[in-house]
Amino acid sequence: MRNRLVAAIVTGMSDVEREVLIPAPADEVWSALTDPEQLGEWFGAEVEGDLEPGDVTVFHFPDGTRRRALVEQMEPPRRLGFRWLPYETGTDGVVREREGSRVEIDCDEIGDATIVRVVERRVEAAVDPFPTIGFRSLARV
Amino acid sequence: MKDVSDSGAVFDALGDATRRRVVAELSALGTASPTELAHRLPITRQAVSKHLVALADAGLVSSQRSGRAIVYRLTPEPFTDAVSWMTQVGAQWDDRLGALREHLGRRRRRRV
Repeated sequence: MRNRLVAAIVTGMSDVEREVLIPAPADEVWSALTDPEQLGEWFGAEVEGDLEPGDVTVFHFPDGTRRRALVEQMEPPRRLGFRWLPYETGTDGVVREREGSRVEIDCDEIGDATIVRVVERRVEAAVDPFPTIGFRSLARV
Repeated sequence: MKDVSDSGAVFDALGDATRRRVVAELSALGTASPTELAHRLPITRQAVSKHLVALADAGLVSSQRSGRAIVYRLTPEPFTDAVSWMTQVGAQWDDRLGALREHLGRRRRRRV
């Protein structure tokens, strides 16, 4: 068992990759990905703030925790890239470090459907310092 | 043992193809000295040692003295942690993408 896990990681399967075919054109998918209200509905979190490149969007999860995502890339209607910042706010309001990761969502329109492909890759906090927008100011959000 | 919460380092340390081969060989052998690993890899013992040090820094291998040699073994915790991260994140995306599909289906039906 352990050897199989090691083998999986060693052969480069360390990214989480998912693909889904959605029976809607890419521009509708894009709205669902980037309109905070729609995004919140399927993502299972309340989304605070618009998605704009360079901006931080706050996700309020039903369990009371909050995470922040730095929007890095928006190429409508094809590609959305964001980064989960390497900390979260607990229900007690305390900010704790946790793993960061980078998410890329690609939309490929095929006929009147869209293939949505998600890749999430873990990012080590040590090589991914807090962005210059400021840890403290973000922590108060 | 490194703090397990630090184990995003797993992915950084395994970003190097040769280092991944060192891990694969070590996984097959259980414990091995740099000399034993070098026999199975197209690199020198010195190069193997360097990779082992990097892997040890990431908490992926541990070493102990065995007679005159130092032998290495994989430490399971970071791998377990990395795999559990992948499992958890994968399951979240399965749920979310299913919900995205349903969300868009509902919107389309409403419009028809």
